[in-house]
Amino acid sequence: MKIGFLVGDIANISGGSNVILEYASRLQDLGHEAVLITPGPVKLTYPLWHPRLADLPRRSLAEAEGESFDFALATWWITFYDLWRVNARVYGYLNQSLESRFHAERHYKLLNRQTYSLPLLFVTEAKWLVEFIQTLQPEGRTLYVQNGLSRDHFPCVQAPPKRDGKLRVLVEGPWGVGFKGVPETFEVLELAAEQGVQFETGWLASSSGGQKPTVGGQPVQVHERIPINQVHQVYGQYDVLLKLSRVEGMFGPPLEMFSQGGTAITYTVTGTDEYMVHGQNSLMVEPYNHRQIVQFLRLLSTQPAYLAHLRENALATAKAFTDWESSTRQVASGLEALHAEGWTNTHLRPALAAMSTMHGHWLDDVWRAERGGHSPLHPYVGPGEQVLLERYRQFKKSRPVRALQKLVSDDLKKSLRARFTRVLS
Amino acid sequence: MRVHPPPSTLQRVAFVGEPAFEPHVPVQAAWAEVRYFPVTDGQWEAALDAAQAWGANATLVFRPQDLTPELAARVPGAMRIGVIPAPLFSAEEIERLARSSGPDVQGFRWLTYLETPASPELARLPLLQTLPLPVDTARCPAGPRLEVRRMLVADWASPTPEAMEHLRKLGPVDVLSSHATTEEMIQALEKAGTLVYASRDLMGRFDPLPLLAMAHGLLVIADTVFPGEWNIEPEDEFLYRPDGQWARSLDEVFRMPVSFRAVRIRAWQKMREAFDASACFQRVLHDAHLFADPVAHLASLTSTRPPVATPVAVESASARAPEPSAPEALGAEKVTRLTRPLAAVPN
Repeated sequence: MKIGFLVGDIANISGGSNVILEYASRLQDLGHEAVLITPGPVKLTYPLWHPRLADLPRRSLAEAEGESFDFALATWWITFYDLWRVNARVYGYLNQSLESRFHAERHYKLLNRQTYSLPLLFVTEAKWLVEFIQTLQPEGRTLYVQNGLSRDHFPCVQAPPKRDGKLRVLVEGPWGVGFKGVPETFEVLELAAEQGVQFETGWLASSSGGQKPTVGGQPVQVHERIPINQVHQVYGQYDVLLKLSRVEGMFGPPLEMFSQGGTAITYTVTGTDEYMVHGQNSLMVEPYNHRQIVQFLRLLSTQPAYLAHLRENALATAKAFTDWESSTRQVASGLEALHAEGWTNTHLRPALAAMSTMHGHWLDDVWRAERGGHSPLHPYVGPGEQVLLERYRQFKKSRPVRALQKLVSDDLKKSLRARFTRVLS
Repeated sequence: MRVHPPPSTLQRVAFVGEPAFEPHVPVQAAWAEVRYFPVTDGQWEAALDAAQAWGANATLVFRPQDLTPELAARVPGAMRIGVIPAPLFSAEEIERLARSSGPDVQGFRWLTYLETPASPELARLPLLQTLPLPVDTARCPAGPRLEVRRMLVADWASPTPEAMEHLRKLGPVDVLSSHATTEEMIQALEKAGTLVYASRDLMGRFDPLPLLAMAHGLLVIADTVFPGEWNIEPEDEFLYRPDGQWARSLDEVFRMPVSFRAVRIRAWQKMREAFDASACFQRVLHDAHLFADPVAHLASLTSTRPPVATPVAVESASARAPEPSAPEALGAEKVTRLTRPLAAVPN
């Protein structure tokens, strides 16, 4: 089978790209032709973040337009709008998250939801996504396969490494992506340090954004841009991963930590129910319950037997977890079954093209409106501020305020407004 | 959220409180036998005696501030927890809680509070964790009824008369009376597709209706937001719209349903992810034992298998016959069918 993966930024490290590369390279190993289809030519930076990246055939969209594929799979949601450019028997979507939640802008959210509006083949990795997709798009076909744990990059240790001394806490994620919650994680750690909890901190990041955080006055050890085949060495130096992201698909990093004999403290984020169990292999808190995290850190730093219990079960979870070979075989057999059945949704191509056209025009209009500076679409303010603004508008419209306004001359109003603007800007 | 199975000594868990709290108590749980003991007309003794006679190993009491220290001492079970479900302002009630709770008191070992306590008086209480009033999602529909267009408005959280007039032009609007019984409220939620909600406070702090509506798969449109730390995401899980935009928003929802069905599905999922009563209370009890005595808790745990199964690939049957007789249960059917094979994953 010839399978095209429409990708966004494949040259830089990300969990989502890792999943695509694992599937593409292993489908290739199984004898299928897997092709990465990129928006334009890709310049690879060496050393490569993923060892298989250079092996995979890459085509720009313009090049791929002349080819035929058995399956063309959108990946990052924006690539959905390019599916029509490729000739395929089956149009699909390797869907790793509800990416609407990545954006604050309403127009992106609305556009993202349209990516579920056609009965594509959906290949997905988490039960919550299967539930979401099948409820929203019951006419589509859905293939659920858990992501594997790479035994090449994350070989499970025999037993949790024995360590003396302070609890070692690892933070993971880039600084500048809001829903990853990294600054919030350091705030929690600072609070824990203020309350006398004893621990040391490290930070594993694809990009630190130039940040050099400290916790309790001590610098945090930063592990930045580590190639994926060396990440396990970082995990192995810590006892617990503290990860407070608010949006996840299948949630890979805690599992990777488990493979090295560490446990994790996370929010009850989407994806945790794939393999995490509170009090067995990890500790979880609902976002509203985040002050509990300090208590958990205190517990782990003072109760080595309990920490050992979590770490042992975490490692057992990782050892029992499926690997990429098995996951890829599941995907391959799912695709082969569809292929053998002769199932096609190639008739959707005109609809995909029409949606892409509307998407393009809509974004052009948004861009023009934003350049004009009158866009009601861009969320300059968050919801809390919007509530305050609305209350302020109501206050301004109230009878006493309007009566007061009538008493003030227009010139004075103008002057006051100018002065306030100067002071506040 | 999945929680480590409780020790074998925790077999019967009682919940005690006014009848209004019943939708917030698990009707059944896989981790223990659970039962609700309603307190009618302030008759706490009768409810506590019934829980005692039932043989509760642990008891959770809603509004523990209503119990005198003497009554609190009569709460049955080895673990007793008070659930404070709404903001507490009364110095007298806080003082009463201080006398009826704590590790050395014959009353509540722990308390929970719906938000991070703002006052030092509250912070001095033996607070186990923050816990907004959860919802027993097992009593709610097994999926959002996406075709339902009926609107619901609560008379205590109602839009302006002008806004109501606009809404009525768009479709049927039911008004929920503040005198409605719990049963009537649930019936109203089961008939509706959208809750339109006006409030001067953040949603959910004093009134569980918005959370109940989301758990029932309704689209919530409100002129306010939830507390930020609850992580209920505006635009993805409910719509924040000022009063003047409600009719326009509803019109959008009806004209462009695909754009907003995703919001209803996510709201319904979020309630199960973070506000499900069974999971929340299982977790509360787990942490109560863990923090009360970590060594004893660890000793009480039975070993469990790793919480993963052999890899599963579930392909939805595209040849599924549609159910023309029940178009509104679309989501429910899909979800139920899907989760059945996945339920094989050991918990």
